Amino acid sequence: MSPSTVNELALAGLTEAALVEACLAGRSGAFDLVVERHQRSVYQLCYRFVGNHEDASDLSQDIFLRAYRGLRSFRGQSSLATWLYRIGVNVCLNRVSAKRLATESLEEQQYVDTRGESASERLLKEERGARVRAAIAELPRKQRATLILRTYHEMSHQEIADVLGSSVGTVKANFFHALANLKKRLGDHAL
Amino acid sequence: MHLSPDELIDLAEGTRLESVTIHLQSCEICRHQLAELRAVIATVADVKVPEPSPLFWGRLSARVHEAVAAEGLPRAPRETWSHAGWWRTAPLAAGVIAATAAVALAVYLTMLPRATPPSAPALGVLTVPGAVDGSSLEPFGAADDLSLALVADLTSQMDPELATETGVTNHIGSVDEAVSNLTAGERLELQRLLKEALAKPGA
Repeated sequence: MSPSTVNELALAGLTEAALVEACLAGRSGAFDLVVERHQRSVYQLCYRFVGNHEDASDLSQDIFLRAYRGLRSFRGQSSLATWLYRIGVNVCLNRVSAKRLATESLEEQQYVDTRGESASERLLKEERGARVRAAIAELPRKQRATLILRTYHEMSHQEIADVLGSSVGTVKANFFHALANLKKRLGDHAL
Repeated sequence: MHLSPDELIDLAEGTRLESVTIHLQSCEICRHQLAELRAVIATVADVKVPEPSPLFWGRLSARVHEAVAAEGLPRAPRETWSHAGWWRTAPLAAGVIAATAAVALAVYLTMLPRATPPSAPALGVLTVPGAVDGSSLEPFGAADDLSLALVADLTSQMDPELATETGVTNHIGSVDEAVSNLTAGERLELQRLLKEALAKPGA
């Protein structure tokens, strides 16, 4: 077994806190493992906000770089995932404020998993998905962030409150208004 | 009284059942609203993120790895202004502010037209009670470099509170305010002295 494989195996067995310590100590491959574990959820968070692969990819890289720079401020009071989401939401909200983002056309979405669906089912689903994404993109920032974190990342109201710096009551109110606004925008036929 | 957004959200997510069911059974409006919320949640949850190419994850990892390698080890969190012991740097900052204001004032005064002969060479507005004694400005006219002498005198003994009290602050318009408080005689005297100093060779 090569030394690098031994190192990878040793890192894989570390707790989250120990892995962060290993990163801070400059241990080879430690932050790579953090990226490997969380890149999918971070990318998905970004995609939910910006609606296209290119921006989601750039934002994901930016989030990990910011996380690395701020790693010493991670106190372990929340999970690493929640901490990364907090950075991610801020980065994404800043980005969507700074520029109007183009949502991908259906043709550009080349990697949707469509196994087991007929062509017509797939088309219908993609059209509905595009409509829902566009409607979410029009929500006010806090409502959008709340909806994304609650619906797609299964975060508790308390965790979302921590990420957004608000209260559980505010999170529930934002979620309620986000859903009501989506209902208005989508109309009955999309539901 | 209908159900609150909190209660409706809890119901829609299935986290509250008994306490509000009595109202729900008797209120069609709330039942309808609840059904709508559940429908929207189901619709939204059904929208998936398109899966990127399988090669994408390796590329993203590599990009992050390169960017991180260029960074070096993570640094300790930087102290913010509110936690950085601002009091340690405040006197220096006040000195810089005072110096900037004084130099700007001097430049401004050199540009004023001379109208009447100088009267009393008073500089009361720039005098900081308890910090800069007016008499310490006595060698003013005889100094080799007037503006520097003025700046040195002002900044050597000034503290942040006095800087604020005397109006020597860094807010926009503070220099104009200071100038507008000079008497006509004071302005003319400053102008004369500064011109005299600036006219010297090497000024």
